[in-house]
Amino acid sequence: MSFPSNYGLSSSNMENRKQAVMDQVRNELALANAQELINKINEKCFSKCITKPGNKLESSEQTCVAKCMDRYMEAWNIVSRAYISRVQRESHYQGESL
Amino acid sequence: MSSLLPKQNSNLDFDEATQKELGKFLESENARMRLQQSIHTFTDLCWDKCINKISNKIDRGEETCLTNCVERFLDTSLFIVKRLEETRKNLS
Repeated sequence: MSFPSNYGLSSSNMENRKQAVMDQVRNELALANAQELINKINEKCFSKCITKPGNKLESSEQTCVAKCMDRYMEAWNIVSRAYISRVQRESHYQGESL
Repeated sequence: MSSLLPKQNSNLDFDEATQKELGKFLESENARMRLQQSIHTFTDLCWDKCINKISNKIDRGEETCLTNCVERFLDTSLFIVKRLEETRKNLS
């Protein structure tokens, strides 16, 4: 985790450091999100595609994993859409009982 | 998340307006992360419930199942909270 080392006090410098902090936070979160997705895909597609682990990853298993990855990301997007639209609907009717 | 800020004089390096702005920024990034985390949890859960065979595309039935799965999970969560509240009210 490195930061620009020139901590001067000029305002443009402060602006730069602010941007650096923001970029760093954005990058770390994007990385954490990607790692989480990769871990889930690994777990889910391993259990779907490698039913009997042999002495190497068969090409049929590789094909399955490749397809499974695409399907998992598709599912992630569907779930994301469903959740976000629910959140929006509910903040719209805030206060009303469900 | 404060560990991301420089160690010495971390607050003194930014003026008040910038500190406020960064605070707001962190808050919104935090909310975004919580949202994404929920999506990961739901996808994990609903994948197991809805996807049986890996085909070339998620079909209509699976898509409907995923959407319903998210909706019903949230309904369940609200139902549990509501029921606990009622139980608590009846006790007092």
